Amino acid sequence: MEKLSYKSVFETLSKVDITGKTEQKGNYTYLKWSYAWHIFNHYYPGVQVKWLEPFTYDNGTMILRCRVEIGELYKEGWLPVYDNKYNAIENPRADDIQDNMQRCMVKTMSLFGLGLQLYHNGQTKPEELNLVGEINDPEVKKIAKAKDKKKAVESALKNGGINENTSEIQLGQGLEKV
Amino acid sequence: MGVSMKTQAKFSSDKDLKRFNLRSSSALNYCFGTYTPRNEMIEWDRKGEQKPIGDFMQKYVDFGNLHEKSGIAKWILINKKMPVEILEDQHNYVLQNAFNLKGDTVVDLSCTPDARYSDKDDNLLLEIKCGSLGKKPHDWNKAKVYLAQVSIQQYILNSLGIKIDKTHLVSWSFNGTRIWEIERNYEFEHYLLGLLEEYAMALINDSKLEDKPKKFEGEHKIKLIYGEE
Repeated sequence: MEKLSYKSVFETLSKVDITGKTEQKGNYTYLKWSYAWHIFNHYYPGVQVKWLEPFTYDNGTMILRCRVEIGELYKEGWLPVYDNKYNAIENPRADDIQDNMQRCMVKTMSLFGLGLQLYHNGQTKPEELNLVGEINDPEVKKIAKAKDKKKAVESALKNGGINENTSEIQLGQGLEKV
Repeated sequence: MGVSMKTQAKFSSDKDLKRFNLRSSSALNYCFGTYTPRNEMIEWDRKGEQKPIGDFMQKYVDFGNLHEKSGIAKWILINKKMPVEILEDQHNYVLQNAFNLKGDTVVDLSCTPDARYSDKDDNLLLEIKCGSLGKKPHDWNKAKVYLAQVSIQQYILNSLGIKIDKTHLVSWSFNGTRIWEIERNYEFEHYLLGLLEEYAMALINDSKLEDKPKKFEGEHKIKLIYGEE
């Protein structure tokens, strides 16, 4: 069996489409904890979640901490016990703590890549980050290099070099002046 | 959006002439006080300053500025047409002395559309909005607040001799796009110009305005031409 690496796990989990597996709480969208657990177990049945000692503060608020382990790989995450408006709750009740344990677990799982895009911008489709800001579509590259953008775009539209499947984010970059 | 959001309300004193500039992007506040009450807005304009944007709103403005190009690109890919006056080539259109005021004060109306497209069938403007930090496109309930801006833009360009029949209001997000086609509405323009004139008069006469003016009772011709309801 191939040895697991952080890279291979991230590449697997960051490509999972979580559309339809989220819920809205206040202004925020979350991956449901049961789906997160299901998906993790599908790919990595040995996954374990361990709870670390929480931090508690003088004003009665607290930060939960957990560790998600896949074999020798692990990530540690934390989360204050929040209400749905992202205010830390003073002297939280058991049900507040349980809700936030689930959020904390899902957030920690996202450090392995699952649903990480939700924390960027709330989207559920896997996201290809263009980390170096490069345009990798050859047709859009031509537009990006062109001095006469109008002519270059019209030509690419005419010959089908760009179409509805072209990334508008890349094309948008290509429209900027050289 | 874009350049028009960055421009400041102008007040200049040129010998005896006072000049104010009302921007289409703030039409909502001038006419209805939607985000800033009319009488507060007028104080900022009298000082020649723009109300500072809070940190919370600033991130929405920054996101909109960053992704205006994505909204334009999406429109190009859908319509298979290339507009002009985009991004760094945007034009600022100014209708000077828009209300024919007499005396030593001039009030201009200005706008900076995100793009313009003309061919034998269409003469239109593009207005790009990137709501919810890219989470989802606006629904009409939110997008309708831009009607005043859109309508004033159409009025300014037509008054300057550039024929515009409609605007495509594009609400872009990472998770989908909606485009509404908004036809020119003379009745609504007339209604807005009345409110803007009232604002301009109050601006120069140091008088107060009603914070909630009478509602527009007419109808608009708007259709969703891309994306789902």
